[in-house]
Amino acid sequence: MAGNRKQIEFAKKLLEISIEDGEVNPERVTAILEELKKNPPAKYPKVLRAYLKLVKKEIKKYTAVLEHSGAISDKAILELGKELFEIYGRRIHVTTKSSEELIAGVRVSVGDDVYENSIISRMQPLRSISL
Amino acid sequence: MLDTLLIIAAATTDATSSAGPLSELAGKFHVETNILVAQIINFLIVAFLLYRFAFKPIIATIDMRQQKIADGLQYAEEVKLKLADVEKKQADTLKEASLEAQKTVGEARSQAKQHLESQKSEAQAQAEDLLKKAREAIDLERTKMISEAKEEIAGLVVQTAEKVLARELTASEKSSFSESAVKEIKSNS
Repeated sequence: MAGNRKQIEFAKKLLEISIEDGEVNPERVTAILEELKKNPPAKYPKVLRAYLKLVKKEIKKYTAVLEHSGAISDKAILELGKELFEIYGRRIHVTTKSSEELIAGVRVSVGDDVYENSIISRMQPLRSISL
Repeated sequence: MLDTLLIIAAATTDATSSAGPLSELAGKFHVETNILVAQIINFLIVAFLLYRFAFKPIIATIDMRQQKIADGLQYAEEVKLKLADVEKKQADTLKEASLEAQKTVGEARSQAKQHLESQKSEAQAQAEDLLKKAREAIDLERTKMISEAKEEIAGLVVQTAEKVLARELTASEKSSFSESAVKEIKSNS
């Protein structure tokens, strides 16, 4: 466990180096990976796994996944991005994903935060209503 | 004593010889005064001896036996009295025992009745308690079943509504709903 902590701490330092202007820089990540390949640290696979996990988590922080059912305009996506910027105080990249299970409406996930306004979410309270 | 008798006989002889009619009468019957006196004396001697050595011990024995009999009778009377007393005591004791037994039986009956009543009321209370619990369990189960049925029905209704909406909504309606949903997220946040 103590060994894992060292690798995690090392991966955190690598992540700090990878970030530029509040976002993970792909070029820096590539450079770090090449350097690690040349000079592998102790427990190299564990370091890589921890680094990958942290990078994914960091990217998730400024990436919004917009799930939708039915077509959605670029304008609406743009406006959503602006709104998220106001909420989180940083630029949020919006990626879209079609999700027919919503029936109609959207679900926006930013990190651990989820905003949903869909038919399925509106129907959910009806399930617990006593007849 | 013999001297006295001889003097009496001599006197009698003298008297006989002196008295006329009596002597004549005695002569007619051939009574000889001397022999008569001697016989009287003999008789008295025999009587005395018989009394002294035969009748007296017999009478003493008879008295003793009579005394024994009287004592026996008295003892028997006492025994009889004692027996009567004992019998009376026994009767009293029996009566007392009978009364005591009756009292005990009465108490036992009363206690048995009380115990029976107590058992009966206890059993009744237990039965009522069981009945109450059973009713409560039935009510609870019924409420639970109704609640589950409601939930299931609500679920089915919602599921059906979802299927219907998914089938009936057109692409443009979905798109329009999604656009407005984004705007609502903006306004709500």
